[in-house]
Amino acid sequence: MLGTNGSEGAMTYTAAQNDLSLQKKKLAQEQFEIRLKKFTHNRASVFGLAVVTLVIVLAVFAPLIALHDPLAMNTADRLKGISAEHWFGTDNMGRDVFARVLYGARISLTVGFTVGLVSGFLGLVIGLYASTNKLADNILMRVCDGLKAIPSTLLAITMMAVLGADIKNVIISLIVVNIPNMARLARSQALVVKEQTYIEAMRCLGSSQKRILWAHIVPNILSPMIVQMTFVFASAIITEAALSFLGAGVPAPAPSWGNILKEGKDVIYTAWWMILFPGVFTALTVLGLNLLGDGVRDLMDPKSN
Amino acid sequence: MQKFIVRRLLSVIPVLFVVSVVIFTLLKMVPGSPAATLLGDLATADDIAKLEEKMGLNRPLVEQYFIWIGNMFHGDFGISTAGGEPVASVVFSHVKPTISLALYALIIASVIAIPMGMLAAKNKGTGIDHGVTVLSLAGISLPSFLFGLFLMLIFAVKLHFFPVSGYVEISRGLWPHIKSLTLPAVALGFMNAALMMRMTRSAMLEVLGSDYIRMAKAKGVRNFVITTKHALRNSLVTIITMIGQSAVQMLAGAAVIESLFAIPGLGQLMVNSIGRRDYYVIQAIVLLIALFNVLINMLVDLLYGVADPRVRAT
Amino acid sequence: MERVLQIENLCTEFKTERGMLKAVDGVSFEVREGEMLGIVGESGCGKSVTSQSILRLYDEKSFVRYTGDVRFHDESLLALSEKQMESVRGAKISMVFQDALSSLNPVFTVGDQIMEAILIHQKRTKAEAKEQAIEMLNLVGIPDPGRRFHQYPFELSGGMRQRVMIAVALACHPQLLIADEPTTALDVTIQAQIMDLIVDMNKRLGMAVMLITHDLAVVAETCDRLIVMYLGQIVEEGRVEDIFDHPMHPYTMGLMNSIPKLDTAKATRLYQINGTVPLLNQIPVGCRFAPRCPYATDLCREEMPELSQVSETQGVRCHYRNGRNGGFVQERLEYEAG
Repeated sequence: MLGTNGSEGAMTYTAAQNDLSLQKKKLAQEQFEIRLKKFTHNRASVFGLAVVTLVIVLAVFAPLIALHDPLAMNTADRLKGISAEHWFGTDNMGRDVFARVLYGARISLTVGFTVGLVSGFLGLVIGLYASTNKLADNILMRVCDGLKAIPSTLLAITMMAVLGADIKNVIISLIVVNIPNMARLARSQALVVKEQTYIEAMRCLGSSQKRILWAHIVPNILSPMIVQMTFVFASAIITEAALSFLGAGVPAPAPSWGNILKEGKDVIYTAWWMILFPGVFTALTVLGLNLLGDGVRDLMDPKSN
Repeated sequence: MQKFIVRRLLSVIPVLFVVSVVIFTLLKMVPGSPAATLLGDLATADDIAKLEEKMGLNRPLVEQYFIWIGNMFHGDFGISTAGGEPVASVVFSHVKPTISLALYALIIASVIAIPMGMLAAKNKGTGIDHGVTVLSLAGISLPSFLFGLFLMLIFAVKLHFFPVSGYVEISRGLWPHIKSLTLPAVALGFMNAALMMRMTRSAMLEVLGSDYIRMAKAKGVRNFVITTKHALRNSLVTIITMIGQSAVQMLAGAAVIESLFAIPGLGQLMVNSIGRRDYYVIQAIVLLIALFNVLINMLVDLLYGVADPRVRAT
Repeated sequence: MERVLQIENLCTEFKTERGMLKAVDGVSFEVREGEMLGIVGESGCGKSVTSQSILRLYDEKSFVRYTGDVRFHDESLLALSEKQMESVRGAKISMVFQDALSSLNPVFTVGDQIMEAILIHQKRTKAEAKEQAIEMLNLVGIPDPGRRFHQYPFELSGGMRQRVMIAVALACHPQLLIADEPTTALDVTIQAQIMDLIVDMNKRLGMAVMLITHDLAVVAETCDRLIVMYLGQIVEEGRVEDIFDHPMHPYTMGLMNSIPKLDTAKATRLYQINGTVPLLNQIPVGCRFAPRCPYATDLCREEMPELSQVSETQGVRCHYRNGRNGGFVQERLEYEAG
């Protein structure tokens, strides 16, 4: 008798819950559509998306678009200005700047994307873990505070000094540098969501800690994480360029934007094109990512507006 | 307030501990023995072993850490492997240009950004606001070394308004000193100015939308006074934080800008030390800036107490 | 009795992403010297907007547009420059708000905030202003005003803060006090104390009070006249006794029926008005209350009724105004028959 009652109760509960969650989903869907419309109506976000898409396309199809090998030196054609043959001119070793800029986009995007994704994921895991365990929280957050006390550019430079100039090391350094912020964000967001009444209710209804964490908390903190990852993407591109510019990033012959700028700086009196074109590409890509990030934030979280 | 200060002072300890462990770990990850680097290529294995013994490099890591920390408390940061001089004096001789540059950049950034942010908030939705938003977006998207390169290209190479690079000490006249630092300071300040503009704007907007601003208006307080007294006073906490963080950012960003404009400050020293594999100097600079960062943050928190009576009471 | 404030056909529109929204639509009423006027309605009915429009508190640069006329004595407030308006606010007309904690500036002391109002509007030295401010604290019933003067808002209790806000508002002895839900955020016992204080100030200082509230019971106890608002319009106005004795508008009746009474049997459900106040961009054609009105007819849904006098002291905006509760049924039958 008791058993039947119990299961009946449970059934009504799940039915009600399903109904409720279905309604909630539908409402969320509608709201998302409204915001998507807003996103497409927001010229800045669309511009950001367009720029980022363009840079990705240029990077992916670089071998088809660029007529020259980015590494092929040609001493006869040194420091030639812009022409039909060399759209962005040539550098001090006679290499085609246009080709170097396009191939440079590959490096920047690879570094930015990997750093954004991996630091986001690791930050999420660390932040979630910290939000469930008091002791771990204390230790992890103190470590994050310590890492954050060293300004990120400086920490990245130091790590590069120790690890040695190499694209893999650039990525590792930038991931380490960006994890603390990501972990802090994930932790604080998780703690906010955890306090919410519906999570409280689930706990009272006997959902397991693990289920609550992955099925309810993670989806709710994912959107600010993704937005933050877009911004890390952008800042990683900047830092990689800066590191390469200092000679502590991607090693020399590789056509990283920072490398082109570094070489351009040495010939600044003669070859303005070596600074202008990679510079504009860097700035536009970062701008595009920032605008896209703002757009995605508005898309996912109406409150932040 | 006293309790607040003491608690804040104590909270610095774990942060500095972690910083020191991070730096120590990084130092230990350096390939090769520092003793070997110090002695050069001609040293025999025996010489190296002797020096290692003297430097305590063959003891357990934990012990080495405490010796390292202990030495630093006595002002001993090791010997620069490049010049053989004590690291402390090498670093100290490069401090002045960096401070000049960072201060100059900070002043430029604050003087431009804070009024602009306030103006944008006050005129929300108008042309002024959009202009400030666009400007700050541009600033956030333009890395300082890139902006510096552009400035150098336009104002030094093409227009000859400023020297392309080089640093003039203040002892050789204030005006040449300022002139030599203007382009680097603008380059360094721009990105921070952009961030400051954004933050001032949003902090002001939040304050301007609050009930006590409406109450002040209902009392008959003039618009100008509302902005400069009521609203500014309440966004002060945000502004103080911002200036503090910018100061730290500028010290860090100086690394790139100083290399670009050939200013003999901490940043250039650090970048040069990477090339020379002079790890003790790098470690000392990082530690110094991290310490500065921690102190600035503490100062900012203490200033909260001055700016906001509610903080004082806790 | 002389009029302090006369409002004629006031409209307040806000610029939003979806175009202009009219939050107050053609409101006319007057406030007489020394009286207490209650303005009642659910949230979103435009009562707060009306009151803030009188002092022109909204950002006029890009956000709001006022039309109509607001006359304070013989001065047309909407025609004043911002500078002239500043000398009205806080000196001739004052306002107190709902939440004193957020309405008092957290970083200035209580005394500073009272003194600020005095120093703006009256030629006083700092010492005189301080003396006057302490007097005000005393007047609004704050014990030990000399000490409270130096305290910050967060150091006071909710009731105390509300008293401080009233002291700020009354510091320059205004002729009209607009109290926008002054007791909503407070405990019930404190509510009564604050209302007593406002009534006391009204009597002692001879100052007119516009009391904005959603609580009809408070109005019944304290006010002389009453205005009921719905969706930016006045739907009924008149003397408090008249309206309480025979409310004419179905909305007013609804509001009054929602007040729990001691003699109602426990099992009976509390009366509620169906539905909620529609958003400003979904204003119905015809009578604005029609979608929620139990007596609405096709006429109500098609044509907006005018606000018209049914007696010397009472006006109502309803097509079926000539009668009480039963009258609606009567008239509705007649309408359907003919």
